[in-house]
Amino acid sequence: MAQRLERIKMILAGTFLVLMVAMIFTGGVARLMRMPLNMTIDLATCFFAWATFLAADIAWRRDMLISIRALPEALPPRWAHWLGMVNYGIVLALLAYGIVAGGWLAWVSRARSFQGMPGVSYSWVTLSLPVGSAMMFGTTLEKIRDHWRARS
Amino acid sequence: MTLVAVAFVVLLVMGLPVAFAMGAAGAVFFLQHPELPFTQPAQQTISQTQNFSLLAVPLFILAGSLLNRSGITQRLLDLATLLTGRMRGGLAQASLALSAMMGGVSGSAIADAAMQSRMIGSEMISRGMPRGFVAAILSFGAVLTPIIPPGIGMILYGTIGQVSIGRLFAAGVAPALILWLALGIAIEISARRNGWQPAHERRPSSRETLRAFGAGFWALLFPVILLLGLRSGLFTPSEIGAFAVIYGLFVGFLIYRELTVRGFGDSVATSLGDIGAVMLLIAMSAALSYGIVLERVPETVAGAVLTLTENLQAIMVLVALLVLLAGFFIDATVLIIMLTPIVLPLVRAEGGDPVHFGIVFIVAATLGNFTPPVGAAMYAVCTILKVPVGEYTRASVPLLIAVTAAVILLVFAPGVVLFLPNLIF
Repeated sequence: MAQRLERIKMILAGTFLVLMVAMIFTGGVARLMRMPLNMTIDLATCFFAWATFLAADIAWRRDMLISIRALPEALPPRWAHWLGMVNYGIVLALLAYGIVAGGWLAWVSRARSFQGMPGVSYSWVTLSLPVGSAMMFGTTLEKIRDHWRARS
Repeated sequence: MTLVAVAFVVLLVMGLPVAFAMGAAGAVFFLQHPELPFTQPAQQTISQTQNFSLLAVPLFILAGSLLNRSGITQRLLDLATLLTGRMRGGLAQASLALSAMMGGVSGSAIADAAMQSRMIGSEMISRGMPRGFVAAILSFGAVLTPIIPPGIGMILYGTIGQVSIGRLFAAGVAPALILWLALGIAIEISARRNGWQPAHERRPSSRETLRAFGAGFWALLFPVILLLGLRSGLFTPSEIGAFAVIYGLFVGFLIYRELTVRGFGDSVATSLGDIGAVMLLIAMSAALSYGIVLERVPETVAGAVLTLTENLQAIMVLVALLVLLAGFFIDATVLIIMLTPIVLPLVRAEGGDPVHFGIVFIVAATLGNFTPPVGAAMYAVCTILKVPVGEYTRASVPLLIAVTAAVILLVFAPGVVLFLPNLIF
Protein backbone atom coordinates (compact mmCIF):
# COMPACT_ATOMS: atom_id res chain seq x y z
CA MET A 1 0.00 0.00 0.00
CA ALA A 2 2.69 2.45 1.08
CA GLN A 3 4.79 1.52 -1.94
CA ARG A 4 1.85 2.04 -4.22
CA LEU A 5 1.24 5.48 -2.79
CA GLU A 6 4.90 6.34 -3.43
CA ARG A 7 4.56 5.20 -7.01
CA ILE A 8 1.47 7.34 -7.51
CA LYS A 9 3.28 10.39 -6.08
CA MET A 10 6.20 9.80 -8.41
CA ILE A 11 3.98 9.39 -11.46
CA LEU A 12 2.08 12.57 -10.54
CA ALA A 13 5.26 14.61 -10.08
CA GLY A 14 6.71 13.19 -13.31
CA THR A 15 3.51 14.03 -15.17
CA PHE A 16 3.64 17.63 -13.96
CA LEU A 17 7.26 17.84 -15.11
CA VAL A 18 6.49 16.47 -18.57
CA LEU A 19 3.45 18.75 -18.86
CA MET A 20 5.69 21.74 -18.04
CA VAL A 21 7.98 20.78 -20.92
CA ALA A 22 5.04 20.30 -23.26
CA MET A 23 3.43 23.64 -22.31
CA ILE A 24 6.57 25.71 -22.60
CA PHE A 25 7.66 24.10 -25.83
CA THR A 26 4.22 24.55 -27.36
CA GLY A 27 4.13 28.16 -26.19
CA GLY A 28 7.55 28.86 -27.73
CA VAL A 29 6.67 27.26 -31.05
CA ALA A 30 3.29 28.99 -31.16
CA ARG A 31 4.93 32.37 -30.62
CA LEU A 32 7.43 31.66 -33.39
CA MET A 33 4.49 30.95 -35.66
CA ARG A 34 2.99 34.29 -34.62
CA MET A 35 0.12 32.65 -32.77
CA PRO A 36 1.08 33.38 -29.15
CA LEU A 37 -0.70 31.29 -26.51
CA ASN A 38 -0.71 33.06 -23.16
CA MET A 39 -2.26 30.13 -21.43
CA THR A 40 0.76 27.84 -21.83
CA ILE A 41 3.01 29.90 -19.55
CA ASP A 42 0.32 30.21 -16.87
CA LEU A 43 -0.38 26.50 -16.89
CA ALA A 44 3.36 25.72 -16.84
CA THR A 45 3.93 27.84 -13.72
CA CYS A 46 0.93 26.18 -12.03
CA PHE A 47 2.44 22.74 -12.80
CA PHE A 48 5.81 24.09 -11.63
CA ALA A 49 4.45 24.69 -8.11
CA TRP A 50 3.06 21.17 -7.92
CA ALA A 51 6.16 19.54 -9.42
CA THR A 52 8.34 21.46 -6.93
CA PHE A 53 6.56 20.38 -3.77
CA LEU A 54 5.90 16.80 -4.89
CA ALA A 55 9.54 16.42 -6.01
CA ALA A 56 10.66 17.91 -2.68
CA ASP A 57 8.93 15.04 -0.92
CA ILE A 58 10.65 12.55 -3.24
CA ALA A 59 14.05 14.14 -2.53
CA TRP A 60 13.37 14.13 1.23
CA ARG A 61 12.37 10.47 1.11
CA ARG A 62 15.51 9.57 -0.85
CA ASP A 63 17.70 11.50 1.63
CA MET A 64 18.87 13.77 -1.15
CA LEU A 65 18.59 17.04 0.80
CA ILE A 66 22.01 18.51 1.52
CA SER A 67 23.06 18.71 5.15
CA ILE A 68 26.27 19.11 7.13
CA ARG A 69 26.93 15.78 8.84
CA ALA A 70 30.19 16.57 10.63
CA LEU A 71 28.72 17.11 14.12
CA PRO A 72 26.17 14.26 14.13
CA GLU A 73 28.89 11.87 12.94
CA ALA A 74 31.36 13.01 15.59
CA LEU A 75 28.90 12.67 18.49
CA PRO A 76 28.51 9.48 20.57
CA PRO A 77 25.60 7.42 19.12
CA ARG A 78 23.22 8.24 22.00
CA TRP A 79 23.68 11.97 21.55
CA ALA A 80 23.49 11.71 17.78
CA HIS A 81 20.22 9.83 18.17
CA TRP A 82 18.63 12.59 20.26
CA LEU A 83 20.03 15.32 18.03
CA GLY A 84 18.36 13.53 15.11
CA MET A 85 15.07 13.53 17.01
CA VAL A 86 15.37 17.28 17.68
CA ASN A 87 16.03 17.89 13.97
CA TYR A 88 13.00 15.87 12.95
CA GLY A 89 10.94 17.82 15.48
CA ILE A 90 11.99 21.11 13.87
CA VAL A 91 11.12 19.73 10.43
CA LEU A 92 7.69 18.65 11.65
CA ALA A 93 6.99 22.09 13.12
CA LEU A 94 7.97 23.80 9.84
CA LEU A 95 5.84 21.45 7.76
CA ALA A 96 2.90 21.87 10.12
CA TYR A 97 3.17 25.60 9.48
CA GLY A 98 3.21 24.90 5.72
CA ILE A 99 0.03 22.85 6.02
CA VAL A 100 -1.84 25.40 8.15
CA ALA A 101 -0.67 28.66 6.54
CA GLY A 102 -0.73 27.18 3.02
CA GLY A 103 -4.19 25.72 3.64
CA TRP A 104 -5.42 29.08 4.91
CA LEU A 105 -3.98 30.86 1.85
CA ALA A 106 -5.66 28.35 -0.46
CA TRP A 107 -8.96 28.94 1.37
CA VAL A 108 -8.84 32.74 1.20
CA SER A 109 -7.64 32.83 -2.40
CA ARG A 110 -10.41 30.54 -3.68
CA ALA A 111 -12.30 33.49 -5.17
CA ARG A 112 -9.19 34.94 -6.82
CA SER A 113 -8.88 33.81 -10.42
CA PHE A 114 -5.52 32.43 -11.58
CA GLN A 115 -3.82 34.83 -14.03
CA GLY A 116 -7.21 36.28 -14.84
CA MET A 117 -8.51 32.98 -16.24
CA PRO A 118 -12.23 32.89 -15.51
CA GLY A 119 -13.29 29.79 -13.63
CA VAL A 120 -9.74 28.84 -12.62
CA SER A 121 -9.06 29.63 -8.97
CA TYR A 122 -5.62 30.70 -7.71
CA SER A 123 -6.17 28.12 -4.97
CA TRP A 124 -5.08 25.48 -7.46
CA VAL A 125 -1.59 26.95 -7.20
CA THR A 126 -1.57 27.67 -3.45
CA LEU A 127 -2.86 24.18 -2.63
CA SER A 128 0.47 22.74 -3.80
CA LEU A 129 2.19 24.01 -0.63
CA PRO A 130 -0.12 22.45 2.01
CA VAL A 131 -0.43 19.22 0.01
CA GLY A 132 3.34 18.98 -0.49
CA SER A 133 3.93 19.85 3.17
CA ALA A 134 1.46 17.16 4.25
CA MET A 135 3.30 14.57 2.15
CA MET A 136 6.65 15.60 3.61
CA PHE A 137 5.06 15.51 7.07
CA GLY A 138 4.11 11.88 6.46
CA THR A 139 7.60 11.10 5.16
CA THR A 140 9.12 12.72 8.27
CA LEU A 141 6.93 10.59 10.56
CA GLU A 142 8.20 7.47 8.77
CA LYS A 143 11.77 8.70 9.14
CA ILE A 144 11.22 9.26 12.86
CA ARG A 145 9.85 5.72 13.20
CA ASP A 146 12.91 4.25 11.41
CA HIS A 147 15.26 6.49 13.36
CA TRP A 148 13.69 5.37 16.65
CA ARG A 149 13.90 1.70 15.70
CA ALA A 150 17.54 2.00 14.65
CA ARG A 151 18.44 3.35 18.12
CA SER A 152 19.34 -0.02 19.64
CA MET B 1 18.84 39.65 12.12
CA THR B 2 21.82 38.62 14.27
CA LEU B 3 19.59 36.10 16.04
CA VAL B 4 18.42 34.80 12.64
CA ALA B 5 22.02 34.35 11.45
CA VAL B 6 23.02 32.58 14.67
CA ALA B 7 19.96 30.31 14.47
CA PHE B 8 20.80 29.45 10.85
CA VAL B 9 24.40 28.50 11.65
CA VAL B 10 23.43 26.48 14.74
CA LEU B 11 20.78 24.55 12.80
CA LEU B 12 23.26 23.84 9.99
CA VAL B 13 25.83 22.50 12.44
CA MET B 14 23.13 20.37 14.07
CA GLY B 15 22.86 18.54 10.76
CA LEU B 16 19.41 19.80 9.81
CA PRO B 17 19.04 19.70 5.99
CA VAL B 18 20.02 23.13 4.64
CA ALA B 19 16.61 23.72 3.05
CA PHE B 20 14.84 23.25 6.40
CA ALA B 21 17.51 25.27 8.23
CA MET B 22 16.75 28.16 5.86
CA GLY B 23 13.04 27.78 6.47
CA ALA B 24 13.52 27.70 10.24
CA ALA B 25 15.81 30.75 10.15
CA GLY B 26 13.14 32.53 8.11
CA ALA B 27 10.62 31.53 10.78
CA VAL B 28 12.84 33.07 13.48
CA PHE B 29 12.82 36.33 11.51
CA PHE B 30 9.03 36.36 11.25
CA LEU B 31 8.62 35.51 14.94
CA GLN B 32 10.58 38.68 15.69
CA HIS B 33 8.17 40.64 13.51
CA PRO B 34 4.66 39.90 14.76
CA GLU B 35 3.39 42.90 12.78
CA LEU B 36 3.84 40.95 9.53
CA PRO B 37 0.97 38.66 8.45
CA PHE B 38 1.45 35.05 9.54
CA THR B 39 0.81 33.76 6.03
CA GLN B 40 3.62 35.90 4.56
CA PRO B 41 6.34 33.17 4.68
CA ALA B 42 3.97 30.69 3.00
CA GLN B 43 3.11 33.29 0.38
CA GLN B 44 6.82 33.95 -0.26
CA THR B 45 7.51 30.22 -0.55
CA ILE B 46 4.80 29.72 -3.16
CA SER B 47 5.82 32.80 -5.12
CA GLN B 48 9.25 31.24 -5.76
CA THR B 49 7.54 28.54 -7.79
CA GLN B 50 5.69 31.13 -9.86
CA ASN B 51 8.88 32.57 -11.29
CA PHE B 52 9.05 31.81 -14.99
CA SER B 53 12.86 32.10 -15.19
CA LEU B 54 13.34 29.51 -12.44
CA LEU B 55 11.30 27.08 -14.50
CA ALA B 56 14.48 26.58 -16.52
CA VAL B 57 16.08 24.79 -13.54
CA PRO B 58 13.97 21.58 -13.56
CA LEU B 59 13.95 21.55 -17.35
CA PHE B 60 17.73 21.61 -17.69
CA ILE B 61 18.09 18.95 -14.98
CA LEU B 62 15.72 16.67 -16.89
CA ALA B 63 17.44 17.44 -20.20
CA GLY B 64 20.86 16.55 -18.77
CA SER B 65 19.59 13.25 -17.45
CA LEU B 66 17.93 12.43 -20.79
CA LEU B 67 20.95 13.31 -22.90
CA ASN B 68 23.02 11.17 -20.58
CA ARG B 69 20.84 8.18 -21.37
CA SER B 70 20.64 8.98 -25.06
CA GLY B 71 24.06 7.46 -25.73
CA ILE B 72 25.82 10.83 -26.05
CA THR B 73 28.08 10.31 -23.04
CA GLN B 74 29.84 7.18 -24.33
CA ARG B 75 30.43 8.82 -27.71
CA LEU B 76 31.89 11.91 -26.09
CA LEU B 77 34.15 9.74 -23.95
CA ASP B 78 35.44 7.98 -27.09
CA LEU B 79 36.12 11.36 -28.67
CA ALA B 80 37.81 12.70 -25.53
CA THR B 81 40.06 9.64 -25.23
CA LEU B 82 40.97 9.85 -28.89
CA LEU B 83 41.91 13.52 -28.67
CA THR B 84 44.01 13.24 -25.53
CA GLY B 85 45.30 9.70 -25.92
CA ARG B 86 48.83 10.79 -26.80
CA MET B 87 49.23 13.04 -23.77
CA ARG B 88 50.87 11.83 -20.57
CA GLY B 89 48.22 10.93 -18.02
CA GLY B 90 45.95 10.42 -21.04
CA LEU B 91 42.82 9.31 -19.25
CA ALA B 92 43.09 12.15 -16.73
CA GLN B 93 43.26 14.61 -19.63
CA ALA B 94 40.43 12.74 -21.33
CA SER B 95 38.27 13.17 -18.24
CA LEU B 96 38.88 16.94 -18.38
CA ALA B 97 37.94 17.06 -22.06
CA LEU B 98 34.85 15.00 -21.31
CA SER B 99 33.80 17.41 -18.54
CA ALA B 100 34.14 20.30 -20.96
CA MET B 101 32.09 18.56 -23.62
CA MET B 102 29.51 17.33 -21.12
CA GLY B 103 29.25 20.93 -19.94
CA GLY B 104 27.33 21.71 -23.09
CA VAL B 105 24.81 19.04 -22.24
CA SER B 106 24.45 18.98 -18.48
CA GLY B 107 24.48 21.83 -16.01
CA SER B 108 25.49 20.06 -12.83
CA ALA B 109 29.04 19.48 -11.58
CA ILE B 110 27.96 16.83 -9.09
CA ALA B 111 26.14 14.72 -11.68
CA ASP B 112 29.11 14.98 -14.02
CA ALA B 113 31.66 13.94 -11.38
CA ALA B 114 29.53 10.96 -10.30
CA MET B 115 28.94 9.83 -13.86
CA GLN B 116 32.60 10.03 -14.85
CA SER B 117 33.69 8.11 -11.75
CA ARG B 118 31.44 5.26 -12.79
CA MET B 119 32.57 5.39 -16.41
CA ILE B 120 36.35 5.75 -16.23
CA GLY B 121 37.34 5.90 -12.56
CA SER B 122 38.33 2.29 -12.09
CA GLU B 123 40.08 2.14 -15.46
CA MET B 124 42.25 5.12 -14.50
CA ILE B 125 43.18 3.40 -11.24
CA SER B 126 43.92 0.12 -12.98
CA ARG B 127 46.36 1.99 -15.25
CA GLY B 128 48.44 2.85 -12.22
CA MET B 129 47.33 6.36 -11.24
CA PRO B 130 47.07 6.85 -7.47
CA ARG B 131 43.47 6.49 -6.26
CA GLY B 132 43.43 9.84 -4.48
CA PHE B 133 44.61 11.66 -7.60
CA VAL B 134 42.02 9.92 -9.79
CA ALA B 135 39.25 10.93 -7.41
CA ALA B 136 40.55 14.50 -7.20
CA ILE B 137 40.81 14.98 -10.94
CA LEU B 138 37.39 13.47 -11.63
CA SER B 139 35.92 15.76 -9.02
CA PHE B 140 37.75 19.02 -9.84
CA GLY B 141 37.41 18.49 -13.60
CA ALA B 142 33.68 18.84 -13.15
CA VAL B 143 34.20 22.56 -12.42
CA LEU B 144 33.98 22.98 -16.19
CA THR B 145 30.47 21.53 -16.45
CA PRO B 146 28.40 24.30 -14.84
CA ILE B 147 30.45 27.07 -16.49
CA ILE B 148 29.98 25.93 -20.07
CA PRO B 149 26.37 26.73 -21.07
CA PRO B 150 23.92 25.68 -19.80
CA GLY B 151 24.58 25.88 -16.04
CA ILE B 152 22.06 25.70 -13.21
CA GLY B 153 24.18 28.10 -11.11
CA MET B 154 23.99 30.74 -13.85
CA ILE B 155 20.21 30.43 -14.11
CA LEU B 156 19.91 30.90 -10.33
CA TYR B 157 22.34 33.83 -10.22
CA GLY B 158 20.75 35.46 -13.27
CA THR B 159 17.23 35.11 -11.91
CA ILE B 160 18.01 36.29 -8.39
CA GLY B 161 20.30 39.14 -9.47
CA GLN B 162 18.31 40.11 -12.57
CA VAL B 163 21.27 39.57 -14.87
CA SER B 164 20.91 38.39 -18.49
CA ILE B 165 21.14 34.61 -18.48
CA GLY B 166 22.13 34.62 -22.15
CA ARG B 167 25.12 36.87 -21.44
CA LEU B 168 26.08 34.74 -18.44
CA PHE B 169 25.97 31.59 -20.56
CA ALA B 170 28.21 33.19 -23.19
CA ALA B 171 30.57 34.59 -20.55
CA GLY B 172 31.28 31.11 -19.20
CA VAL B 173 33.04 29.84 -22.33
CA ALA B 174 36.42 31.64 -22.08
CA PRO B 175 36.84 31.09 -18.30
CA ALA B 176 36.08 27.40 -18.84
CA LEU B 177 38.93 27.21 -21.36
CA ILE B 178 41.27 28.91 -18.87
CA LEU B 179 40.25 26.53 -16.08
CA TRP B 180 40.70 23.60 -18.45
CA LEU B 181 44.21 24.80 -19.27
CA ALA B 182 45.08 25.33 -15.59
CA LEU B 183 43.92 21.84 -14.60
CA GLY B 184 45.56 20.35 -17.70
CA ILE B 185 48.91 21.86 -16.70
CA ALA B 186 48.52 20.53 -13.17
CA ILE B 187 47.91 17.02 -14.56
CA GLU B 188 50.85 17.32 -16.95
CA ILE B 189 53.17 18.25 -14.07
CA SER B 190 51.98 15.28 -11.99
CA ALA B 191 52.28 13.00 -15.02
CA ARG B 192 55.90 14.03 -15.67
CA ARG B 193 56.83 13.63 -12.02
CA ASN B 194 55.31 10.18 -11.80
CA GLY B 195 56.25 8.97 -15.26
CA TRP B 196 52.70 8.13 -16.37
CA GLN B 197 52.42 6.86 -19.91
CA PRO B 198 49.98 8.00 -22.60
CA ALA B 199 46.83 5.90 -23.04
CA HIS B 200 47.40 5.40 -26.78
CA GLU B 201 50.65 4.34 -28.41
CA ARG B 202 50.05 5.88 -31.79
CA ARG B 203 48.48 9.03 -33.09
CA PRO B 204 44.88 8.51 -34.28
CA SER B 205 44.37 8.77 -38.05
CA SER B 206 42.46 11.78 -39.30
CA ARG B 207 39.73 9.39 -40.36
CA GLU B 208 39.33 8.05 -36.82
CA THR B 209 39.27 11.58 -35.45
CA LEU B 210 36.65 12.65 -37.97
CA ARG B 211 34.50 9.65 -37.17
CA ALA B 212 34.68 10.35 -33.43
CA PHE B 213 33.75 13.99 -34.02
CA GLY B 214 30.84 12.84 -36.15
CA ALA B 215 29.60 10.57 -33.37
CA GLY B 216 29.78 13.37 -30.81
CA PHE B 217 28.35 15.96 -33.22
CA TRP B 218 24.88 16.15 -31.67
CA ALA B 219 26.28 16.82 -28.22
CA LEU B 220 28.76 19.42 -29.43
CA LEU B 221 26.08 21.16 -31.46
CA PHE B 222 23.76 21.68 -28.50
CA PRO B 223 25.49 24.57 -26.66
CA VAL B 224 25.87 26.36 -30.00
CA ILE B 225 22.14 26.06 -30.74
CA LEU B 226 21.42 27.18 -27.20
CA LEU B 227 23.49 30.36 -27.46
CA LEU B 228 22.13 31.12 -30.92
CA GLY B 229 18.56 30.59 -29.73
CA LEU B 230 19.05 33.02 -26.86
CA ARG B 231 21.03 35.49 -28.95
CA SER B 232 18.45 35.69 -31.69
CA GLY B 233 15.83 36.44 -29.05
CA LEU B 234 13.80 33.55 -30.43
CA PHE B 235 13.68 31.79 -27.07
CA THR B 236 13.75 32.65 -23.37
CA PRO B 237 16.02 30.55 -21.11
CA SER B 238 13.02 28.53 -19.92
CA GLU B 239 11.97 27.79 -23.47
CA ILE B 240 15.53 26.72 -24.25
CA GLY B 241 15.23 24.36 -21.26
CA ALA B 242 12.09 22.80 -22.74
CA PHE B 243 13.80 22.68 -26.11
CA ALA B 244 16.76 20.88 -24.50
CA VAL B 245 14.42 18.16 -23.23
CA ILE B 246 12.88 17.72 -26.70
CA TYR B 247 16.39 17.70 -28.19
CA GLY B 248 17.40 14.93 -25.77
CA LEU B 249 14.35 12.89 -26.79
CA PHE B 250 15.09 13.50 -30.48
CA VAL B 251 18.73 12.47 -30.21
CA GLY B 252 17.98 9.51 -27.92
CA PHE B 253 15.02 8.07 -29.80
CA LEU B 254 15.75 8.98 -33.41
CA ILE B 255 19.48 9.58 -33.90
CA TYR B 256 21.32 7.20 -31.55
CA ARG B 257 18.26 5.02 -30.89
CA GLU B 258 19.53 4.07 -27.45
CA LEU B 259 16.73 5.68 -25.45
CA THR B 260 13.70 3.53 -24.66
CA VAL B 261 10.34 4.47 -23.19
CA ARG B 262 11.47 2.77 -20.01
CA GLY B 263 14.72 4.73 -20.05
CA PHE B 264 12.72 7.93 -20.44
CA GLY B 265 10.61 7.02 -17.40
CA ASP B 266 13.75 6.23 -15.40
CA SER B 267 15.26 9.56 -16.43
CA VAL B 268 12.21 11.45 -15.22
CA ALA B 269 12.20 9.49 -11.95
CA THR B 270 15.91 10.16 -11.30
CA SER B 271 15.62 13.84 -12.16
CA LEU B 272 12.72 14.32 -9.75
CA GLY B 273 15.01 13.74 -6.77
CA ASP B 274 17.55 16.31 -8.00
CA ILE B 275 14.80 18.78 -8.89
CA GLY B 276 13.14 18.39 -5.50
CA ALA B 277 16.42 18.96 -3.65
CA VAL B 278 17.27 22.16 -5.55
CA MET B 279 13.76 23.57 -5.72
CA LEU B 280 13.05 22.98 -2.02
CA LEU B 281 16.19 25.00 -1.25
CA ILE B 282 14.98 27.84 -3.45
CA ALA B 283 11.43 27.74 -2.10
CA MET B 284 12.56 27.55 1.53
CA SER B 285 15.02 30.42 1.11
CA ALA B 286 12.14 32.79 0.29
CA ALA B 287 11.16 33.80 3.82
CA LEU B 288 14.79 34.31 4.81
CA SER B 289 15.53 36.38 1.68
CA TYR B 290 12.50 38.53 2.46
CA GLY B 291 13.99 39.26 5.88
CA ILE B 292 17.43 39.94 4.43
CA VAL B 293 16.02 42.60 2.11
CA LEU B 294 13.68 44.09 4.72
CA GLU B 295 16.49 44.51 7.24
CA ARG B 296 18.77 46.00 4.57
CA VAL B 297 21.48 43.39 5.14
CA PRO B 298 23.10 43.98 1.70
CA GLU B 299 23.58 47.66 2.57
CA THR B 300 25.07 46.81 5.96
CA VAL B 301 27.47 44.29 4.46
CA ALA B 302 28.41 46.73 1.69
CA GLY B 303 29.10 49.43 4.28
CA ALA B 304 31.35 47.08 6.24
CA VAL B 305 33.30 45.96 3.16
CA LEU B 306 33.71 49.50 1.87
CA THR B 307 35.43 50.53 5.10
CA LEU B 308 38.10 47.95 4.23
CA THR B 309 38.60 48.87 0.59
CA GLU B 310 36.87 50.70 -2.22
CA ASN B 311 38.90 49.05 -4.94
CA LEU B 312 36.62 46.91 -7.13
CA GLN B 313 39.20 44.21 -7.84
CA ALA B 314 40.13 43.97 -4.19
CA ILE B 315 36.45 43.60 -3.31
CA MET B 316 36.00 40.87 -5.92
CA VAL B 317 39.07 38.95 -4.69
CA LEU B 318 37.79 39.33 -1.13
CA VAL B 319 34.33 38.05 -2.06
CA ALA B 320 35.81 35.18 -4.11
CA LEU B 321 38.03 34.10 -1.21
CA LEU B 322 35.15 34.38 1.26
CA VAL B 323 32.94 32.30 -1.02
CA LEU B 324 35.76 29.78 -1.40
CA LEU B 325 36.07 29.56 2.38
CA ALA B 326 32.31 29.30 2.89
CA GLY B 327 32.34 26.62 0.19
CA PHE B 328 34.33 24.36 2.49
CA PHE B 329 31.14 24.05 4.54
CA ILE B 330 28.24 25.06 2.33
CA ASP B 331 27.04 23.71 -1.00
CA ALA B 332 27.40 25.81 -4.18
CA THR B 333 23.66 26.08 -4.87
CA VAL B 334 23.04 27.31 -1.34
CA LEU B 335 25.85 29.86 -1.62
CA ILE B 336 24.47 31.24 -4.86
CA ILE B 337 20.92 31.49 -3.50
CA MET B 338 22.04 33.04 -0.20
CA LEU B 339 24.83 35.37 -1.25
CA THR B 340 23.77 36.75 -4.64
CA PRO B 341 21.31 39.25 -3.13
CA ILE B 342 23.90 40.28 -0.54
CA VAL B 343 27.08 40.69 -2.58
CA LEU B 344 25.83 41.63 -6.04
CA PRO B 345 24.49 45.08 -4.97
CA LEU B 346 27.94 45.81 -3.51
CA VAL B 347 29.71 45.00 -6.77
CA ARG B 348 27.12 46.94 -8.77
CA ALA B 349 27.53 49.98 -6.52
CA GLU B 350 31.27 49.92 -7.13
CA GLY B 351 30.72 49.88 -10.88
CA GLY B 352 31.52 46.20 -11.39
CA ASP B 353 30.00 44.27 -14.28
CA PRO B 354 27.36 41.82 -12.95
CA VAL B 355 28.19 39.27 -15.65
CA HIS B 356 31.94 39.39 -14.95
CA PHE B 357 31.37 39.16 -11.22
CA GLY B 358 28.79 36.43 -11.71
CA ILE B 359 31.29 34.14 -13.43
CA VAL B 360 33.95 34.67 -10.74
CA PHE B 361 31.34 34.13 -8.03
CA ILE B 362 29.86 31.00 -9.62
CA VAL B 363 33.28 29.40 -10.20
CA ALA B 364 34.32 30.15 -6.62
CA ALA B 365 31.05 28.77 -5.27
CA THR B 366 31.27 25.67 -7.48
CA LEU B 367 34.67 24.85 -6.01
CA GLY B 368 32.84 24.22 -2.75
CA ASN B 369 31.52 21.01 -4.32
CA PHE B 370 35.04 19.63 -4.48
CA THR B 371 36.53 20.62 -1.16
CA PRO B 372 36.31 18.74 2.14
CA PRO B 373 34.67 18.51 4.64
CA VAL B 374 31.37 19.03 2.78
CA GLY B 375 31.75 18.71 -0.97
CA ALA B 376 28.90 16.95 -2.72
CA ALA B 377 30.94 16.05 -5.81
CA MET B 378 33.84 14.94 -3.60
CA TYR B 379 31.54 12.65 -1.62
CA ALA B 380 30.04 11.18 -4.76
CA VAL B 381 33.46 10.44 -6.29
CA CYS B 382 35.05 9.14 -3.08
CA THR B 383 32.07 6.88 -2.39
CA ILE B 384 31.97 5.42 -5.89
CA LEU B 385 35.74 4.85 -6.07
CA LYS B 386 36.09 3.94 -2.37
CA VAL B 387 38.79 6.53 -1.77
CA PRO B 388 39.31 7.85 1.79
CA VAL B 389 38.68 11.61 2.07
CA GLY B 390 42.18 12.17 3.52
CA GLU B 391 43.84 10.63 0.45
CA TYR B 392 41.57 12.70 -1.79
CA THR B 393 42.40 15.90 0.09
CA ARG B 394 46.18 15.47 -0.21
CA ALA B 395 45.91 14.78 -3.93
CA SER B 396 43.62 17.73 -4.57
CA VAL B 397 45.96 20.44 -3.23
CA PRO B 398 47.73 21.14 -6.57
CA LEU B 399 44.38 21.20 -8.37
CA LEU B 400 42.91 23.63 -5.84
CA ILE B 401 45.93 25.89 -6.28
CA ALA B 402 45.60 25.76 -10.08
CA VAL B 403 41.91 26.59 -10.01
CA THR B 404 42.24 29.35 -7.41
CA ALA B 405 44.98 30.96 -9.51
CA ALA B 406 42.65 30.83 -12.51
CA VAL B 407 39.84 32.47 -10.51
CA ILE B 408 42.12 35.33 -9.44
CA LEU B 409 43.23 35.76 -13.05
CA LEU B 410 39.55 36.07 -14.06
CA VAL B 411 39.05 38.85 -11.51
CA PHE B 412 41.77 40.94 -13.12
CA ALA B 413 40.82 40.17 -16.70
CA PRO B 414 37.19 41.22 -17.19
CA GLY B 415 37.91 41.52 -20.91
CA VAL B 416 38.51 37.77 -21.18
CA VAL B 417 35.21 36.99 -19.50
CA LEU B 418 33.18 39.64 -21.31
CA PHE B 419 34.65 39.20 -24.79
CA LEU B 420 32.18 36.59 -26.03
CA PRO B 421 29.01 38.06 -24.47
CA ASN B 422 29.94 41.49 -25.84
CA LEU B 423 30.61 39.97 -29.23
CA ILE B 424 27.35 38.10 -29.63
CA PHE B 425 24.87 40.00 -27.45
